[in-house]
Formats: sequence, C-alpha cells, structure tokens
Amino acid sequence: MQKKRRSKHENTSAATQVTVADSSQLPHHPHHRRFSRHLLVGLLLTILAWCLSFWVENKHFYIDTLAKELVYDLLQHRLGAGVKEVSNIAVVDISTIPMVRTDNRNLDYTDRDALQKVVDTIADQGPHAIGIDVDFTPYPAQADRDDQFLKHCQTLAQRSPPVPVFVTVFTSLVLGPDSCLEEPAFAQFATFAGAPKPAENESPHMMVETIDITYGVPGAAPWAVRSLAAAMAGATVKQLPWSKSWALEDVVVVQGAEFNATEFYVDFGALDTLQQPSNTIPYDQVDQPKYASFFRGKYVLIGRAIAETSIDQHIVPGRYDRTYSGVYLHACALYTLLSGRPLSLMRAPAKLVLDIFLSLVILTLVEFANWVAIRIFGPVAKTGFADMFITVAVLIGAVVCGIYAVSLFRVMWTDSLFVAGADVISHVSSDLVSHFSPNV
Amino acid sequence: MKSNLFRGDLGSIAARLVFGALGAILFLGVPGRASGQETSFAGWLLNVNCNAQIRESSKDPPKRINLKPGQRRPLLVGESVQCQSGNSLTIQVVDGSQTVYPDKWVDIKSSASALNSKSKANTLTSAFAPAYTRGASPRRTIFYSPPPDGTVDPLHLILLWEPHKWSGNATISVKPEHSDESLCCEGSFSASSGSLDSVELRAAITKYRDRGARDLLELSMRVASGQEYKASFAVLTLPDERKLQKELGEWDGKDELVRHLGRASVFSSFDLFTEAAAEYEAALKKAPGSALLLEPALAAELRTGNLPRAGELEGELKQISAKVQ
Repeated sequence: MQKKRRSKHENTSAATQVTVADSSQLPHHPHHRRFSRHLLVGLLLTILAWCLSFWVENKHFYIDTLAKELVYDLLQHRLGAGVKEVSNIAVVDISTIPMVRTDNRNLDYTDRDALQKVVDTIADQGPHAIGIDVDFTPYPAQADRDDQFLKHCQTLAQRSPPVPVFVTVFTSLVLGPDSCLEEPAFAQFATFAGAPKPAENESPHMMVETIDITYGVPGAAPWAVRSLAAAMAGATVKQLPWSKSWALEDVVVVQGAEFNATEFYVDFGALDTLQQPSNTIPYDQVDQPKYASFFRGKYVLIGRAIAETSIDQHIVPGRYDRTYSGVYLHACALYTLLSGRPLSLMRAPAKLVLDIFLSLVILTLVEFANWVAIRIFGPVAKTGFADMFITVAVLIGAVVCGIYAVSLFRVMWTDSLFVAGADVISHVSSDLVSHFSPNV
Repeated sequence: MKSNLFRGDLGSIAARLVFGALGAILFLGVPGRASGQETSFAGWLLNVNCNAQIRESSKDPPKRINLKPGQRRPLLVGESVQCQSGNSLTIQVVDGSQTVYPDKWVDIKSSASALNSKSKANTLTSAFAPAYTRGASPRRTIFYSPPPDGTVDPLHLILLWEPHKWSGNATISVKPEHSDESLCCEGSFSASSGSLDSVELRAAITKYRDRGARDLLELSMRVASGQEYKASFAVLTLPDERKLQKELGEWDGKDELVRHLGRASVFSSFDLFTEAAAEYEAALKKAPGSALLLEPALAAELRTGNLPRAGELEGELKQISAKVQ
C-alpha cells in the first residue's frame, strides 16, 4: 500500500477501518524507497546549505556575523561559568602610580623607581614570571631610566631561582632586537603588546602568540617576538595533529606585508574572576603583610587595571556594556595558554560532516517516527507536525549540546544558529519535494 | 568600539546615518594638527662622528648632541638633526639607515611619509591595537577647570571645582611648577560656590604667558579645614592661540551641530578639554540622547575630571543600551 506522508488525497473514512495488524502486513520496500529518496534529497539540500553557508561566511554578511558573534558570546559566557578561582595569575594595578612629567605631556611615563620597587617586592617572593604591561618604547625622556630599570631586570633574571621579567613594546620592535630597546642585551625582555584588530562588527577573539618581524637587510631571517602572555607562560599553542587539524583550527597564521603573526583563540571565561580583589591587587598594597607570600609561584601582570579613559581600552566578547584594560586581555591570553587547552574553531569540512550527521539523525528519527506512527495508527497517520517537532528538537538539542560541550571539548561551533536554520529549511524543502513530486 | 555601536541603538539607524555623515565630515574636515601632535618613536641617532645638533621641533633652538662612542640617542618624529662640521652621523629609522653629512638638516618624519606607505610600523599598527599603558590615569582632582593635565586659555579661564561638601572660605594660589614665585591671588572666597571668575587670575596668567614662560602652572586651593588641593596645567601659548583661532574659524558658518563637534575636536587637539567638553554638551542639547554624541561627551567630561557629569552621561548611555537589549 502506497501512502505518502502528509498526502492531501488520503481516504480518511477508509483509513479508520485499517487496523494495526493490517499495517504490520504492509510490504517494506516502499518505505525503503521513500527513505532512500528522503536521504538523497536531504543530503543534496544539506550540501547545498553548506555551500551557501560557506559562501555567506566569506562574504561577512551582517546577519551571519551577528549570529556567529551571538553564539561566540554565549560560548564565552559558558566558559566563564566554570571558573571559580584563578590561583596562578595575579594582576597588580598601577592606576595610581606616580608619573614622571616631561616637557611633552605625551611622553610622561610611569615612575620607574616606583615600578622597580613593586617589581622587587614581588620578585622577592619568587613568582613564576613578571610581565609589565607598560610602554617601554625608548623615548628620549625615559631612555636613561629605562636603561637602569632593564639592567636591574637582568640581575633579577640571573638570580637563583631566576625571576623572568618581560616588558611591552610595540612599533619599535620593527627596528629589530638590537634597537627595539635601549641596548641589544635587553631584547630578551621585549614582548609584543599588540592586540589583533577584529574585523568589522566583530569582537576580538584572538591574541598574538608569536610575531615574526622582518628587519635589517632584505631576506634576513625574521625575528620571532613573543607576546607578553606567551613569553610569561613559556608555552605555545600546539598545532593540532592532522587527524584533528582538518576539522579544527586552534592557531591562525596572519600574514602582513612585513610580518607573520601566529594568533590563538582566547578564553575570556576567567575575566570576571581576574578582576576580583582576590586576583587584582593595588600596587601600593603589594608590600602589606597579607600579601607576604601571595605572589610566590604566580604569573604576575603589572598594568593599569582601572578603565577610566579611552586609552588602552578594549571590548571583549559577550561583555559589551563596558571596556577592559589591556592588562586583562594579556591576563586572559595567559590563562588560556596556561590551561594547556586552547580553544578551537570548527573548519568548513567539519561543519559539512556535522551538518550531514545532523541531517541523518533528523531523517532517521523522522522516518522512525513515521514507521511507529503507521504501525500504531495505520497508513493514515499524519506525522507532519511530529516531523517538524523532531527536526527542531534535534537542532535545538545540537545547539544546546554545542554550547554546553564547549567547556568539555573547547570547540567553538559559531555557525550553529546558521546550520540549524539551514537544516530546518533543508528538511522543510525535502518534505515539500516529497509532497509535490511523489514519484521522484 | 564598533561592536558596541553595532549592538547599540538599532532603533535610531537614521540618526546614526546622519551622525555617521557628520563624523565623516569631521574626520575629513578637522585640521591636521591633532594627528601631527602625536608623539612617535622614530628610531636612533648613532655613530656620531661630527659636531651634531638636534632640534626638537621647528620652533625650538638647536641643541648640541654629546654622545660617547657607542652611545645612541632615541629620535622622535618631528625632530631634526644636523652635522655642523666633521665627518657624519647615522640615523637608523624603521625603514632603514641613513648617513647624514655636514650642513644638512634632516627632518625625522613619520615612517609613512619618510619613505613609503608600506612602512613596517604602519602595517603593524593597521593590524594591531596597542594593548599597553604608559601609566596612571588622569589624577583625581576636585578641579574641572583647569582640567587635570590640560591646557587653559588664559583669556577665558574660569576656575571650576566640585561644588558640594565645602564650607567656609578658601584661598588660591597659582605658581609655576618647581618655582616659589606666586602669580596670583589675594583674598579669599566661598568654597561652596564651585567656581571663581577672577579677572586678577586671568590677568596674571596672561601676563605670565605673554612674557614667553612655558612652564606648567600649579593651582593650589586651601579650604577652611586646612586641606589643600592642587591641579597642574599648561597655558595656551600665543602662537597656539593664533592657530586655535584660525582652526576654529574653519567651522564658522557650518551647521550648528557640525560646528559644535568641529570646535570640540579643535579644542581637544589643543588640550583645551574644558572647552571641548562644553562644545560636546552644546551639541548634546541640539541632539539629546544620541549615543554617538554621548560617548565623546562622556570621554570629554572624564578628561576634565567632572566625574559627576560623566556619571550622568554614562547612565544615559546604559539606558539606551538597556532599551536596545
């Protein structure tokens, strides 16, 4: 007995007389044929939807970007839900540290004496590393004092156990290791302080791990400079093995005209915790008895933590009501690197596999529901509503699982909303094709 | 901040388009001083084998350079160096090294204008935003005018400070930093008034400016309780005042809203933060509740140290954000 799902030409009066026992004696091959047809149509539409999403992704459409950012924000919040404490990172806030005044107000700089006192207090406790998120570009007004400060850092690095100290520079890095700071020997302290500028309508997702600076004579080997977080962590994000790298992307190589930068996805989940007084200490309190051994074994970032002006302020995914000081970007990057579990983004082939898998799950469940319905209610059973319910439920389940699984698998499935929408359209289209072309 | 805007006031797209156009007009129309004022590290002066001198800007007198063998000096964009006599010196900038021979002044330009637009530094700054600080936030002060670390126009200076919580009289004094020479002022006045419009003060600072002094001034106010509050500020020089008037004149005759925004930008470029904040407030009166105006107005009020007003503006911004969400 041939019966199309949701056919408008069903004989309902006859159908009421059909029993469950009758339906059990129905030949099976029409079901197989219908399943095969649905499978074929479903796969074709899924691949079509994937091609469409691939095209849309490269076009950076507003709606697509909006959906992805929304999901990315949700995932970042989800990552933060599990962070109760961060015991290995401390931020020392120097918002109120004295400044040395110069003739040019733009060249006023943090008092190096006060900074050195803070560094020494922390260094005496044996921290794992100290990162100073303060501009050490060798401007004339500060060059002599920086020279003394960095020489002092050399003595800290020679202690037993050594206390590695890193400072931040930006554009002066393009002069090469010999000239980015006052003396060539200081290049060991130089780290890159730039934060990648996000694309239009996007929030920053990544931070730099290493940047290769080309300098000197053309063709010379580039200088690989680590970011502040990477230098402090002494770790890099490992490239995924080929068995995973076809599906996931954890490191992105960005090529500029004069540099190559390796960037990684940052887990901002610890941001709220890092801002708590348990992790952020004012600079003038570091020598208080209650912090006598607070910094031992910790990674200590020194920078301005209070956001009052537009300088060094950055937006962060999922937290658009305010901006955050750059020191917290470095702290989150450091947190990501130290966790040893970098975030990954799903690549296009993995998205296709996932789309097809979801389509198969939906198709199988729908067909199973049809089969059960026909067994119970006979061939007149109408499962259109149930089909749609199953489709939507599976997709919602997939999206929710994707969001909750992010802290488990660390995979950011940012286009899940788009895939869900495409799958709904795909299955509705499949049903429409079946309905209007029953003999296809 | 783009994403904030992107998630922001979706309900006022038309207004955004209008203000976006205004922003573009401002961006294209603001005179170049603002960008020229930025101080940039350019490179190094090294291998000085001549009687070298340096000029920090075109209006500064040349200074002799005394470097020991092997020593080098950082160079800033806007400086000029010259070998007066002797052999040569070397300038190492981002785009390469250059040997300078006697009798030629060499201007240190930004790397983009020095050689080509594909400068390494430019490619770096186009891809990355600096995520570091040079140090402290503006110092907390009770004064809104003069603004902390700002500049004042001596002809229009009115002292403003937090009006509440004071009782009794206060005295003020103004003197150059690192000097005991008091420029002003005699007598006392009510501290709770929150302002002082003093002809004597303006005259004293104008006189100080007109004699060519350029040191920062320090304002001290001692209240009845004996507590003393200080603010440090620069005085607008005569050449800068002429430039200011010229640049402000470029906005005359423009639409009122555009004029306010243009003038605010000019005032900001001269560090006249109080005047800039006043222009943004005037613009806000013309277009109340505009998120695009609230943001710069908030930044301007923060820059003047007027935290109560900044708090009000921040509240308005949050309300707009909450409505959208």
